[in-house]
Formats: sequence, C-alpha cells, structure tokens
Amino acid sequence: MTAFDTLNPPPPSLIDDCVHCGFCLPTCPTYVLWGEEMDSPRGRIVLMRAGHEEAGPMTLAQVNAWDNCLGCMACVTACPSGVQYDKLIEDTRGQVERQWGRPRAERLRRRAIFAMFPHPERMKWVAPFAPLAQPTARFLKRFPRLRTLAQLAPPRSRRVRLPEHTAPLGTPRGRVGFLQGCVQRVFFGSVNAATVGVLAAEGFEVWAPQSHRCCGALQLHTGIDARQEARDTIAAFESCDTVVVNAAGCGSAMKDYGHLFRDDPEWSERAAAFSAKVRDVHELLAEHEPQAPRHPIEMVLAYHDACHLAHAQQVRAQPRALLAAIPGIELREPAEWELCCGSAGVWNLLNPEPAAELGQRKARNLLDTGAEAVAAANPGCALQIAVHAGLPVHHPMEVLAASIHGRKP
Amino acid sequence: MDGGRQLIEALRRICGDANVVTEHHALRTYESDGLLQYAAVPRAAVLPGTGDEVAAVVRACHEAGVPWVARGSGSGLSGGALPIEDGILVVLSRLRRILEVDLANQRVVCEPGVTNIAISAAVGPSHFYPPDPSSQIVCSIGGNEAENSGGAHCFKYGFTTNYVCGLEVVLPDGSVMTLGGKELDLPGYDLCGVFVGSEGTLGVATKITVRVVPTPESVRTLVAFFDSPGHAGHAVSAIVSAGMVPGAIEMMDNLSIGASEQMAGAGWPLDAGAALLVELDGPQSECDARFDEVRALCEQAGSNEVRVARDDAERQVFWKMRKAAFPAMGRVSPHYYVQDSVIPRTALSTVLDRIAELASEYDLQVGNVFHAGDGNLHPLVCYDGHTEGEAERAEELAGQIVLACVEAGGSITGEHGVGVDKKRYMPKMFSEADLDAFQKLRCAFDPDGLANPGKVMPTPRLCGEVPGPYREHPLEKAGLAERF
Amino acid sequence: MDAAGVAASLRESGGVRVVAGGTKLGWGRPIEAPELSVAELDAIVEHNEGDLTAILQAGVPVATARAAFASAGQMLALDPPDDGATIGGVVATGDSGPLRHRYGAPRDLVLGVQVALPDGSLARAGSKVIKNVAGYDLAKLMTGAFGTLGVVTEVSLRLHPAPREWLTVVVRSDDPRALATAAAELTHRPLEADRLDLRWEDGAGAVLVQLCGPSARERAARIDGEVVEDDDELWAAQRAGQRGPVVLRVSTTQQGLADVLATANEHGALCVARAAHGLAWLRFESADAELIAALRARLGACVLLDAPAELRRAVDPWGPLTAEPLMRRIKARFDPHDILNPGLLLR
Repeated sequence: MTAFDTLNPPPPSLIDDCVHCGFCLPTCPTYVLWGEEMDSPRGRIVLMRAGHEEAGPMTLAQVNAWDNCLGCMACVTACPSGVQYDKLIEDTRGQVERQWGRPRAERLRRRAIFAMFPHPERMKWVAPFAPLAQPTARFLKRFPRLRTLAQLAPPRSRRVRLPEHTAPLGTPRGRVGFLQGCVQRVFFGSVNAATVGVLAAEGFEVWAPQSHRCCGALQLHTGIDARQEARDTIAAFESCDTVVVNAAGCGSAMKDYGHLFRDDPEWSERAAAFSAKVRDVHELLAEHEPQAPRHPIEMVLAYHDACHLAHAQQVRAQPRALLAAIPGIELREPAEWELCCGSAGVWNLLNPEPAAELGQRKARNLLDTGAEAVAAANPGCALQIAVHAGLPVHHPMEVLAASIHGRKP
Repeated sequence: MDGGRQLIEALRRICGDANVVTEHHALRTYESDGLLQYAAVPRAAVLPGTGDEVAAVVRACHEAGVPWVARGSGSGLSGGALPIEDGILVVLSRLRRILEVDLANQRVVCEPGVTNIAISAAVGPSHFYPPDPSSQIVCSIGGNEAENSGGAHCFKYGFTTNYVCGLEVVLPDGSVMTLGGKELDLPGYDLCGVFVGSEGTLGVATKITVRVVPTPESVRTLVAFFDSPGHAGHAVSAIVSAGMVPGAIEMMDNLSIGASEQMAGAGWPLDAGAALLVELDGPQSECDARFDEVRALCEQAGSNEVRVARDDAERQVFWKMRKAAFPAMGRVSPHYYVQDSVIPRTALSTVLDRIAELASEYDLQVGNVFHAGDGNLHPLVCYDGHTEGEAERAEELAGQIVLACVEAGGSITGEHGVGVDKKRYMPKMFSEADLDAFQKLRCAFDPDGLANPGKVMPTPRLCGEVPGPYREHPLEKAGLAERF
Repeated sequence: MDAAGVAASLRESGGVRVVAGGTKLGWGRPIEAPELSVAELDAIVEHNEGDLTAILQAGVPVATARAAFASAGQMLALDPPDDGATIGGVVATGDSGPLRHRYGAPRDLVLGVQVALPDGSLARAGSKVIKNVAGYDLAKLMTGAFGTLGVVTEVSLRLHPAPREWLTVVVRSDDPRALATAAAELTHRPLEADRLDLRWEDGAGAVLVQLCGPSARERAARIDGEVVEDDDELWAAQRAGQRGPVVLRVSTTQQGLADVLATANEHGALCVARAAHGLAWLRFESADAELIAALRARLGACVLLDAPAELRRAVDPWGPLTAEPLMRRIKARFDPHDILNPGLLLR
C-alpha cells in the first residue's frame, strides 16, 4: 500500500520526465516567497515519487506541499524537459481529496466555497450585496480568509442576460459554442457581452446556452471531483465544432478533460475529442484576419498574463497582438510577467496571507509600468489586481469591443 | 542519538523552528542536487536567514562533531550538494539579498543565495556579470563560487574565479574570516582564489564580492550548420587562428539538436551533423569588422547554411536551444548521464571519433554539447534505467569517455566540479603527491573533516599532526594504507 | 638541477632563499638564507599553438617567452617591468604590467603549476587546458605567495592572439581629480582597451588608452584625446614607473584613485595606475617610516616594493594581512619547519 489509490495516480512516466534541473524554481510563486525545496514544483514532484516508492499513507508534509501549489503552471512554461506538471498536480490533488482527512474546519471552509462559487444561480442572489462587502474588510482583520473574501468582492456588477443565439456580422466564419461560466456570468456579465459582441462582429455565429452552469475548473484545480461537471459540459457543447471560452481557468480545465477521463472506457474518446475543440477567444480571433474595423482608443495599458492562459494554454502572443492592433493603445509589459498574481482560482481564499504578498508584488510590477489600466483575461486575476493595484482592470475583449463600437472601455 | 537531538535543538534555537526541517518527506526534497543519480537524506536541513546564523550553525556542528554540506539552489551537476546521511544540510536559499551595487567601482556584494542572473539584472544594462552557466536563472552565486562555474561566454570573459575578489567565509570551526575585498592584489596569499572552486570543502561563503564589467556595445550571433562535428571543429580552429576571441563558440551534435528542437522549436535542420553557435561581442565597429570574417570562415570550412540572428528575440531563441540542451535530453531519452570533460581544443576530432567508437562498443547513444572555444565537452550518455544493466553500462561508458579526455591531455571536469560524481577519476589525473598537496590545503582549513566530507578527494583521509618529510611508505605505495 | 633535484634539496634543507632572475630580491622583509636558484630550469616545455597554451619552466625569462610566442602571432599577456624577470619570479610575486587591464594578473593567466614542496615532493595542480576545476587551485595559492609555500618549477599558461595593429589615445589634465574622473568614465565604457592607465608626474597627468584591432582608429575617434600611433615609449614609461628608489603599490578602488593622484601631486611623487582595477604605484625618491604610515592611513592597502635597506628594516613592507591566522595555518601545513624564504612574508 502506498500513498496513492488506483484512480488517476500521478503517472510515474510523467514523474520520470523531471531531471531535477531546477529551472522551475525561480518562477514558482511559493518558492519565490519561501525558498524551501518542498514549496517548489521540483520538490512536489519528489514527493509524488515518494508517494509511489514508499509504503505507507500520505503525510501532512506531502499534503501541505501539494496544497500550497497555486496551480499557476509557470513551471510548465519554464521546464526544458517538458514535464507535464499540470497533469501531475491535478491527479495528485484528486488523490489528496480522497485519501487525506482534513480537519473539520478546513473541510467546512472548502465545502462553503464550493457550495457558492461554481453555482451562478446561487451567486446571483449574493451579487447585489457584494458592494457592501468591501467596506467591511477592515473589521475582519482577525479572520484573514473572510477578510480576503470581502476585499475581493466586486464593487458593482451589472446583470446581463446573454441571448442564446447571436447572429454574425460581415462575412460568416462559422458557428461557435460559448461558455458563460460561473463567476464570469454573475460578476462580469459585461465581459461576456463584450466577448459575444466581438465574436459576432468578426463573423462568428455564437450559441451561448443559459442552461449550462459550470465547467468544473475551480473544482478540478483544487482536486475536487469535477467529473460530473465535465461530463455535463461535454454533453452540452460537443455538438459544436469549436467551443470558445473567455476565462483562462475554464479554457485550461476544458482542454484537460481528455487527461481527466483517460482511463474511463466510456468517456475517454469523447473527452479527448471535446478538448481538441476548445479555444480561448484570443486564440480563435488570432487565427483569422480581423474583419470589423478598429476605432482608436488612447490608453496606456499594462498587459497581465493570466496563468491559466499564458502558462497552462501557452497563449501569450495572441491577446497582445489583438490589443496592439488597436490604434492608440500603448501596451506595456510588467516585470516578472510569469509570476502569478496570487488569485489562482480559490487559492487566495484558502491562503490569504501569501496571496496578498503575491498580489502586492504583482501590483507593484503593474504600477511600475506607468500604465493607466490593466488588461487581464481572467475574472480571478481581475479581482485580485483591482484590490492590490487600485487600477481599472479590463478584459481584452472589453477593450476590443469598445474599439469596434467606437467608445471607451 | 542524544548528541544528535541536542544539535537539532541548538539549530532550532539559532534559526527558528520553522527553518529546521526534520520531517522525512520534507527532507526527501533535499536528497539530490541536479544529479538524480545520487540521493541521500540528511539528518536535518536548516535554512539560516543571515550570515551570523550560518556561522552559528557551523559552530554548532563543529561542537557536536557532525559533518555538514552547504546547498545553494541544488542545481549542481556533480553531487556537490549531496547531503551526508547523518549530517546537516545547510540550505542557503534564504540568503538571497543583494547587499550593495557599487557601479562606480564596478563591484556587487551579495549573499550566496542570489541567482547568477539576478546579479547581471542588478547592474544592467550598462554592466553585466559575465560567467553565465546555462542554469543561470536558478543557480546561486554561492554555488558558482563553490564550483568555479564557467558558462558559454567564459572563453572570452573567464570564469567565476576571475570575477570573485572578496569573500566573507565561515570556516569549519565556525570562525568568520574576510578574504580579499573590493580591492585587487591585496598582500598575502590569494585565499579568495583558493576558496573559489573548493566545492564547499573548506568552509562556506556568506558574502561574495564580484567584479562586473561594461556590457559590450554590440552583439552579433550566428548559427552555422555542418555535416559533422569534425567539420565544425575546423571552423573553430580557423576562427581562433585568425586571432579572434568570440564571446562564445558552442557546438551541438545531431542528437542534442533534435532534443532541443522539441523544446525550443527554433526550426534548426534536424539532419544537421553539427550546429556551431558563434557570438561576437564588443565594440560595434570591431564586431562588424570581424563578423563577416567569421561567416566566411564557416562557409570555407564547409558549412551548409549560416543563419544570422536578426534581432534580440531570435538571438534568445538560439541561446535557448543551447542552454536547455541538457534537460531537453530528457525528451529523447528516459535517463542520461551528463559529463564535463575538457580536452585541448585541437584534439576534438580525435576524441569525438573515440567517443563514437566507445558508444558503439557499449551500444548506447551519446549526444554532445561542446564549449568549442575552451575544449569543454559535455557528452550526454543516454540510457534507460528501467532496462536491466543499462545504468551500469552507461556509467562505465561515461568513465571511459573521461579517461579518453584525460589521455588527450585534458581534465576530468571543466566547470561542474568533482563533487562525488568524479572523485574516482581524480587518481587518473593526479598523482599521490598531487593529492597529498591538495589534502594539505584541506587540512589547513578543515582539520576535523566536517565540511562536505566525501567530496573531491577520492579516498577519505584524516588530518593528523602537521606532517614531516615526505617518505612514501611501502604500504602506501601498494595502496594498502592511507596515512596522512 | 632539475625539478626533482629542487624538491630533493628542499627536503634536506634548513632554510633557503629562492632566486631566479634576481630582479625582485629587495621585496618583502629582509631575510638571510642560502640561495636556491631555479635559473637553470629555463626550457619552454610546450607551446601548443592551436590551443593557445604553453608550459614554461620557472627560470624562463618572460622576455624570451614573449619573443618565442610572437613569432607565432601569439602573446603571453604579461608585461611587468624588469627585462630579466623570469616567469617563476613573476608568478611568485604576482607582478604585472599595463596589460593587466584586459588580460588579468598572473593568477588569471596561470592554468597549472608544478611545485616542489618542503617535504621533498613534487606536486602538480591545475592542468594545461584553459578550463579546469578538478582539484584545488593550488596554482592560485602559489601565485603571489613569494615562494613561501613551495618552489614553483613549471607553469602552464594561457596565451592570447597578439594584436596586429594598435594605437594609444592620450587624455591630459593638470587636475588630479578631474583626471581620475575622466579615467573612471573611460573604464565604464565598453571600449575593450588592451591597456588603460593613469599617469601623474610633475604636476600633470594623463589617461592612456591603448586600443587594438582593425577598428582601433574608429574607436579612438570617439575619445577626446591625442592619438599616438608609435606608443612603445609611452608604455615603457608606464612600466618603468613601477620601479624606483622607493615604490609603494596601492590596492584601492577605482574611486580611490582620485586620492592616490592627489597624494602623488602633493608629495611630488610619480604615479602610474591601472585605472579600471584601482591598482597604483607611487614612486618616491626617498621616504621614511612616517610617510609610509601616513600613506597607509590615507590610501588603504599599500605594499612597499623597491626600497633602500634601512627603510625595509624600519617598515613592515606588507601592512596588515587580512586572514593572517588562516595564512599561518596554511603555512604550517605546507612548510612546517619554515624553510622557504623564512620570514619574508609572515613574521
């Protein structure tokens, strides 16, 4: 008996890819903060190997090391040996959730988070009260996690109901399915509206079903069983040739469905086929010549690389190219682009202090560019940056939509 | 082991509970450095936060008679930071402050955990720190100093030892000494020069003062493809004979090109026998005058294609191909053994032929990445550790390659260090009298043998009293006794 | 006597004064001991043209070696003064000349040594290839040790391509601080000068920048100074400035050179300096212990080189030695009976 059970243990062949070179260390947020080997991808992989090699159950040291991982995948970008750490940590987190008994308070906390966030129909009731949350943050100093939650609450969110079908303009380029998401739909409805608007303007017919709820990204990235959400998502969208996503975390998760179901005889092919159809909206747009004219927007914009877009999906050039093509936009690059802002899904809710340190660091780097606003393609990042940098944050689609319609974002 | 527990408690008092690691799994993350072939779990790993804490830790180990090993980023390739099983691992990753940037005097003072690239970043763009090991984004200056690291640009610019001018070191008895300083040619012995490259066996540095130099005005990089490393070698000879010292000349063979291409995707031809990366740097007019000459020499030596980097982005891609070559081998082979031998550059063809011969004899693939300017060869012996006996065969082949290089007039290690990996080859390069002289030095610093024992010297030697006249005892001659 | 003979004679010896070219016998504390000469070890053992390396016995005069390599278009980048100096002596004293600017001191050019030790053994460290980290760097230990830890019998050296064209730009000033500032500005430029010196003499001074290579003229045009094509005499004078009746070698920082020049000016001393390395030589016609003490207090580490006998007896030529306890521990291991140049370096 070892630390892992037989359901998707981190594959030894992937573990063996790691040659222990250490190139991942300077890019790992927890190693940058704490300098300890077990808080680096290289160390976490050693612990996975130990999990296979040693007889005996998982230990707290292993669980802490794996829990501390933000899942930002900066290590995947840095790794010269092609270690698929994203798959390794996903599998390992699942193992932890099944094998490790968390203390009661911890379990309740996680349950509360996952009872709320992936459920847009529940969040929409909370949404109107969200603006009240921020001012209460300063009274919550002794409750760091609640305080973080309060700080991150968006100040204002306009209810937007997307039409299920949106017709294309100009030369038609095909039909795409669009994922509305959970947090995105409730708190950033305007981003969804902007995205659909841009797709339509670029000739895509957009099908955005209301009924589909959640792709399971938050759960998947935290090790909680997301297979039901994944199956529902696949079933909902597999009739489309292309499935478009504007939230980095969601796109990354959906592209991983193939790996999630690799050992499932019924779903493995379907999942792999589905994953192959998923595109981040920037990827899709970059594959085609721009159609709708861009009106100028005079703005100095710092581009923030969302980890699940830049590292997990390796999409870095396309959003920059789309923004740079808008006349009047000056795009600036912050230092330490590869270092996560600290949001990392719900990591900042579970680890408020280090998340705040990382948030401050990202904020300093963004502010140092002298930009007046930040472009970020993920809702979690947008909230985290808004709190720590105090700069307006726009999704690139919002900027693009504004340019197409000739107004300010 | 009560003495052990007392030591751990002392370490906790010095560094704080949170910075002393004793839990088994946590310790396992420190069991190897960049060489996975060697692993050992220490009794404890301690992460001091200041130079004073490092001195106190070393003193505590000295009082307890417990050996210790210092570790920087754990990216070394000779097992220099391999822990001693009953010993303490002193991890320096928290000592990562740059203490002073003195551009007026062209000096930087920093703590050992600072990464190599952070030093150049701190003095850029007007100045830079030249020794640039391929692992520079992660390797620590403390580790560089311990190994006397080189890098691709060392043919022109020199090695770590040519840039370290001052050290604050903790000797194995816990005393702190200042060696050298910002100034050069200070009177007395060149203790800085002796300490650099001593692989953590003479003490541990807690402050490092380095020289930095002006960034070259201009840099021009090309990659030339040849049918074979031999042809590329002729190009190198021609370039050097023409009186040029390029900033870097690096060679990669077909196997390593293929591996790197999978990672860096530079679009290099996969059927090329060898790629030669030549970089000229210096004053713009000098670079321009020489660059066309280099290009012509490559073509005359039979290059099929020469590509010039059009901008910095392309230059970075060329270098990515080279700098990630070792880890990229992980993509083409389940395991590999990286060697670090040096040969006189003129012996390249002969030695490469010999390596090809040996590889075929052992039925294993050997990739080659070569610092062509200074003769530093990195054969990468590929093997599958899951196949019975293959790991042993690979190790034997690696040893044969090292011997071939020494026989050609070279060295067993050009930049990675002896560590634990190459100690067995030391007697092939050095005589007993040579090793005895090394031991004299080691005993002067570490008479109790506590600093990184088991590294560098091939067999364990104790430091007795100060020795008398040298007379080789017949038993010693027969290799049966090791009197020191 | 060959190298083995040297080693054997050390084993039997009660104390020796190591001698080669006899050009620097006045340096260090005055000592009395029977002479052991290595002048007979004067063979150029190897010159590996293709590899740009060479192996010389300790008694080879530097001038002879440089001439031999020049015929192959290569140079040993060491240009200390004293035409009769041997490579062994230059390595033992760590002496250097203006070429130190670009190519470094002996420690940076020595690849390996063979050394005779007091216990009668003959040991090698380093190698003959440019890049090597195997074993301990005893070559660095012996370089500049003034023969007090071992007698170097053979040296492996790195060579460089000899320049084919060169010129020197001279920038003049009669304000020592302005001159130091001008020199510092030049050392911060990526000029890749071969030599870059300061000179102060009789109330006026100059920065001398020697540029080599096909683009030398073009690079020289960007420095505001006078171009001298026939620069041999300029550099001979720089080297000569390192010798005299009383010479003090100062190790300071680049910024510290301003004080050194000011001091030279105040005392009417000649000063030559390696501007980028903070190394300066102050030449006096005469000096006393008080002056040496005052200069040390003002300028930092000063080593007394050439000096008349009474001054050498009155002054500690070295000044404070950092890490002296550690030096003594090393000396005790290598030369436990203190037979090598006894008292020359450590009291």
